[in-house]
Amino acid sequence: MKKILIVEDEIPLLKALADRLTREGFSTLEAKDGLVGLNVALEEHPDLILLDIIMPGMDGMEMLEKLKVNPLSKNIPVILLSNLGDTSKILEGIEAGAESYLIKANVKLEDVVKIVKEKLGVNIA
Amino acid sequence: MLNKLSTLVRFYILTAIIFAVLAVVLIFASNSIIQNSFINRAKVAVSSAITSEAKDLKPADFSLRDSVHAENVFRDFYEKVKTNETIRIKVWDYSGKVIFSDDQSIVGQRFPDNEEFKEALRGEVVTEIGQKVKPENVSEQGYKQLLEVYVPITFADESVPSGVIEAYFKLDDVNVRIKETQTILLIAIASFSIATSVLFFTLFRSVIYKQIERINLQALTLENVSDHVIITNLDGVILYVNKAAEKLTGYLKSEMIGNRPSLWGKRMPKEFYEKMWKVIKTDKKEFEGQITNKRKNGEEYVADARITPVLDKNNNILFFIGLERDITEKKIVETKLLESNKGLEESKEAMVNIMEDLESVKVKLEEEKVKDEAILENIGEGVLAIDSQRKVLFLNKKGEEILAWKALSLIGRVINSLPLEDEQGNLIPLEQRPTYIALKTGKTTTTTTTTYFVRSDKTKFPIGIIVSPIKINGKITGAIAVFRDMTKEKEIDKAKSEFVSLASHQLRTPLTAINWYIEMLQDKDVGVLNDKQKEYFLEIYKGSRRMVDLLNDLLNVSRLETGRLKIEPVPTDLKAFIQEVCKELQPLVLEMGCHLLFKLPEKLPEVNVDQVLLRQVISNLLTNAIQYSSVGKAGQVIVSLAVSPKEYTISVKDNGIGIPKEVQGRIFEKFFRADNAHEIMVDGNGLGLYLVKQIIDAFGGSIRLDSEVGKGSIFYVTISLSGMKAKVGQKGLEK
Repeated sequence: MKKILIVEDEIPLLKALADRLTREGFSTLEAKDGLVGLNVALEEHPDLILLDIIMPGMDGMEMLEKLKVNPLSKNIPVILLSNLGDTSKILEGIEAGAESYLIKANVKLEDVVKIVKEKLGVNIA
Repeated sequence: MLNKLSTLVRFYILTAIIFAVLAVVLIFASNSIIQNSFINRAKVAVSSAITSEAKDLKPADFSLRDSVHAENVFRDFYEKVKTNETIRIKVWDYSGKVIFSDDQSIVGQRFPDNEEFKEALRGEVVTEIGQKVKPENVSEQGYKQLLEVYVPITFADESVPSGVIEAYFKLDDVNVRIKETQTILLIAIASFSIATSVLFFTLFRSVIYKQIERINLQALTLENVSDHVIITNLDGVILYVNKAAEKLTGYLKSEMIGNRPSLWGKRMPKEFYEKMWKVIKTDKKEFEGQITNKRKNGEEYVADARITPVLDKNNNILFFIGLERDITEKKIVETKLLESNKGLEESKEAMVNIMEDLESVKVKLEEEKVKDEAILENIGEGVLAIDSQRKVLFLNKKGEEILAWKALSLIGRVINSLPLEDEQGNLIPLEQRPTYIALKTGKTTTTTTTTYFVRSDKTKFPIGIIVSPIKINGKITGAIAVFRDMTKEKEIDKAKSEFVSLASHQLRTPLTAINWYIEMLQDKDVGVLNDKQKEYFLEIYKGSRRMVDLLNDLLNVSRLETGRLKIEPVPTDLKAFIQEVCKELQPLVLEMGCHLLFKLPEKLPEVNVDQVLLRQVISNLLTNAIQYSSVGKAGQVIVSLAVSPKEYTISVKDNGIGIPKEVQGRIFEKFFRADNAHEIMVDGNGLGLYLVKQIIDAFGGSIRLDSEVGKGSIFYVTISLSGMKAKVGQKGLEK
């Protein structure tokens, strides 16, 4: 069973993502800020990380950078999920090593699941 | 040049001839002079030698009949007298008998008729060139020419000579001397003549030649002056006429010279000529007068004439100089002027009246002007006027304040010497400056992008400029620029945009939560919904989506309005790109039951476009076309792409409700929605076309439309063939 780490400070969104992914057959790990997220990622070695950007404490961009410099975590695919929609911000995220950048308000959960499955090579039902 | 040269050459030849003649004369003269001087010297030498030696002789010696005795007496004498030159002597007694000679053959002979002897006998030393008697045993070679010197020997107490001693003096040496002297003389003459020539030439050049030149010039001037010049003798016979005279009278020079001026004159009353002759001939004064003459072709002409007598030292008239100037034309003009003067007098009065009227108009105008100036000066915005050369003519007080420039120091300057910069601090090129565009196109021009004015102290501020061209009779003669400091607006704008940006992000998060949870409910994640529930959740979802779309548009508007939009063109296959955007809209097409058609060219080279921007433009136009054409019927939308030598044109055509003519100019305004659009669809936000226009303006393209209510609309978007230019900015658009 594929493990997915969700890092999101907004509880309703975290819960929605976790519920839908669990229903799709993934096991989920949850973190409410970047620091916790980074620790969980290094301990649990998830198969994929869904990462919010604006969070208290360590934000998503910082966590992404730290993940990418650590050989233990640098190969974990990361999908950025944010409501910041500037193209410049998106480009910044992709350049930092994210697989994909999704604007939360503009995507359905269905779209998130589709991309997660795509990145993990899981057959899309 | 040729003239000068020939004058010089002529002069040189003349001088040479003079010197040659002089040399010949001198040589001939020198010959006899030198000869005479030598002969005289020889004569004196020989005679004094003979006279001094003869002191020892006695009168009786000349009476000796005995030749032996005589031989004894005179042989001794001969030896004393003999020199290299004096080669022979004859001693004559007073009867003409030769009593001694070194030539024995003539001793005893008588020559009483010898002229020289007879003359010598009168007491004079006589000389004779040549030899009448050729002495024997004297070689031809040695004595070519001899001087015979006859010396009378007169003893004291005697009144007549007792005899004559004749000596032959050799002249051959003299001849040699003469030749030598002549050679020296010739060389001297030649040197002298060369030296003199050089001196003379120098002198000639500096003085005479200049004089000649001056005279030539005077003659040339005289010949070519426009006044008619004639010179006559005392009787009025013409000696000289110049070219102008030919022209004036119509007679040839050859016809005039030798004739009298009456040839073309005689048109004036008799008294005129009498008076003239009196003045010039009797009074010897200059005569001046206006004279009417007749040309050869019979035409009359009027001339100012002046005749001057030229006098010598003794006040005698040498000749007369006459000048005439044709004033016929002048006369005609004068007459005409006189005539028109009368008319002028009349019109002058009329003019005075008009002037008085004008004066009062002028006073009124002055008042208007003062009023206008007062308004301009005190208006709340900067006002600047330029001429067609873009030179500043006027700047009002507010303008001075805003630009930190004194009107006085700015007037006359070319306006582009005041720098305008864009947001990145790049100087705005001339052809993009509003004054330039307004003067060139004749259209009112407004700064559309954020523009900064740089003051002379290098501080800058955002400036808003509206330039209106001034047209007089359709010709652009200048422009008026109204401008203001946009700093405050800019600050407010920035705050607004930051607020919108933040608010949008903060608002999105709860909307996301709503959307996702409804999605889970709809997707039966937590059980099956009944139909009513489904229906209600759909409405909630639609409302939430609208809110998201509105937020996205607002975010984009805020980015575009702050002018910080970046443009990042990448090579793009336009055809494929358009198809891709259409594919993304497929759900809407299906939902609305619309027919989407394409008219795309087969193959196109790649164009540099910012895909995010172009996607937004095409997508917004297509969304409108689909939505407004598919209400109550199956709409039809055609997307086309055309290429011209200048640009690419993307057009979106629909058969929808159309846009009323009266609002077509307003549809690109923010939040504006036409009434007919609002009627059929409540949930538009009025930002779509505004965004389209803003984006197109940002990348330098253009948009226009054709539309008719009830029939449909076509929107045309153009992109330059060279594609979009990259622009550095802080923000891209929302996807």
